[in-house]
Amino acid sequence: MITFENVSKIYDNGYGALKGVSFHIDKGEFVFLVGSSAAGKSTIIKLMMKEESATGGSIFINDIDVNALRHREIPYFRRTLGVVFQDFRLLPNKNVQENVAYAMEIVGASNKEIRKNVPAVLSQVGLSAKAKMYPHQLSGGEQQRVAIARAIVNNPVVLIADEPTGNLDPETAHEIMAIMEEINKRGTTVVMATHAENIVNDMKKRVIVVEKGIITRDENEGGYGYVQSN
Amino acid sequence: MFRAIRRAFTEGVSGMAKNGLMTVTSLLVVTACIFVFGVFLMCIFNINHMTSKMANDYQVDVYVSRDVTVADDSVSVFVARDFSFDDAAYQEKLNSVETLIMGVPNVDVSSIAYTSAKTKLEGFLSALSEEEKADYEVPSDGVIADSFSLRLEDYDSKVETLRLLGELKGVQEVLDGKETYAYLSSLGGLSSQVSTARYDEIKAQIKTEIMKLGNVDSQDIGFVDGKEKFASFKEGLSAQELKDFEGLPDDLIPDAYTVKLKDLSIADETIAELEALPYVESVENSRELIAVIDNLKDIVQKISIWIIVAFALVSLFIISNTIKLTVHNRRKEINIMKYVGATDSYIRGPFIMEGIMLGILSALFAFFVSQWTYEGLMSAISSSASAISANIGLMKFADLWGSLLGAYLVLGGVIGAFGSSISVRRYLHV
Repeated sequence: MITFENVSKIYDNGYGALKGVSFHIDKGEFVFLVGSSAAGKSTIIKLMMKEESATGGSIFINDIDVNALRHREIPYFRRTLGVVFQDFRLLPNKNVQENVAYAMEIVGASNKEIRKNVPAVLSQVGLSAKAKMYPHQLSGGEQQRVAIARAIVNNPVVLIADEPTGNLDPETAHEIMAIMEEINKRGTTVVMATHAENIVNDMKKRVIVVEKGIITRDENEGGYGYVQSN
Repeated sequence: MFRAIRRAFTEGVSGMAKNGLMTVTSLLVVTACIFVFGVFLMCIFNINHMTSKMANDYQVDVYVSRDVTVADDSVSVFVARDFSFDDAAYQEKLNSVETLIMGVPNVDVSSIAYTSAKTKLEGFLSALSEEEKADYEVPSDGVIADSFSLRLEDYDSKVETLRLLGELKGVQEVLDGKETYAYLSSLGGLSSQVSTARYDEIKAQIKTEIMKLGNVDSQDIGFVDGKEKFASFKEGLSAQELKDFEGLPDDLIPDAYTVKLKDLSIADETIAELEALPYVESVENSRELIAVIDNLKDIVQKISIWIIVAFALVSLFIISNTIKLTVHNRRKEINIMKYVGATDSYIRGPFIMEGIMLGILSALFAFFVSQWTYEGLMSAISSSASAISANIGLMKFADLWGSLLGAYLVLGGVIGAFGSSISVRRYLHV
């Protein structure tokens, strides 16, 4: 499903963010990407979304050679991914249901599909009652649920989450994780970069630890544990 | 497709509304730019219109001369009179001279005509007042000799023929038309014009000669009667103005053939050929005016190209900056769209549409300003100098608004689309 093979990334300013990273994620897995800031987590996420291009090595996602993608092919590649960010990134001038529908409009879905799918994902994240509200009227947890709904409405094969609980209190964070796990159970591969020690330890999922641009640990049902050495 | 356009349109409008002051500013600037472009465009339209109208109306007037000095190519052969001869012997002498003349090569035999000195003198005297007549106390028929007038078949060898005629026995003097005229007018009172019959011949000959010229449209040769032209000219004058023309002969203006040319570019050569024709008094045409307008057209076109380039660049800059503002306002949204998998063209659509709408709206404003200005200018011109505007052939706004609006919309649309795509490009590489 997702294969990184000896991937390195050196930014234009000369900073070497990744130094030969290799891992493989199977379809349907739930994987935590763990490490301190500037360890290389975000770079891995960016490479997966083709926001940045790898300097060396190869990346395959869903049998697509990500390095070889041409600029005009990138949008179609990204439609197979769902993305959730720490800062939610909702459109403030659109209400909940419009924010979700927007993702479908962009990929050219018909009005009929939009009317069918949007209420379905909103009920999946528990926001049916707030469909007409605007982002500023919602709590942080609720906004992140809208973002998740938007990420999965086009049925991606991979859900990529970059610190999705970073701005949330622990209780809300657990609610979000429950939703993520639910999505994973329905067959979507989930890759989540996080610092949240409690969550990683509670979930007992596969953990890939990145430190200073290399993978220091990769174990199933792992914990955050003894990672931080500094 | 339709949904995409509608979306681009509504979002484009909302972008314009959100930019508020910046939108208004760029509308004004771009309107001004397009208007300046339009001023030059309208000048070009009018100049083109004028030149084509002039080329259509262009004609050469070939004036036919009645003047003996120009038109009389006859040769007068004066017969020496010996007063001791009796009339019968003199008559014999006349006959022998006529026979000798007929024997000279290059003489048009059928044109030989005898003019008695007596007739000529009577004609001369009849033109004088009683007091003047008293000065000519010796109305002897010897003052002027009898003569034969004749024409030549080939005027190129005129000198040689005149010499042969002068050597004939019994000939006193030979004068060509011009010399005859000079001699006769030194005696005074003789008409300076050729006879009506001869004049008709001359007219026919000129027409034939004109039709032989290659660049002349032989199907379209007109004739203007000088007397009628003068008469109709005088009809248009007030009694006061008419006084200035009192006493002038009614054939003051010579008759003319009006000639249209097939190829105006070699008009100068053709005019020279027309001027070289015999019996042609003068040739008039509006060639100089056409040259001036052609020049003007050239200059205006050259200036226009630079003006258009300069103002297109200004418009481009203004529109691209306005759109840049919209793009900047919506950069988060663009970012989100990129992550969700929107194609570049989907993202670009509303911005390009906003640019195009800015351009087209400016074009429409500029069009109304142009109409207002042009019509104002027209009415000012026509009220101050009606004759000029009628003759020069300025276009009415109704005749040029279509091309003008078309050019404006194309220019506005292209500048808008291009200006906005410049601004969007930078933000698309996420």
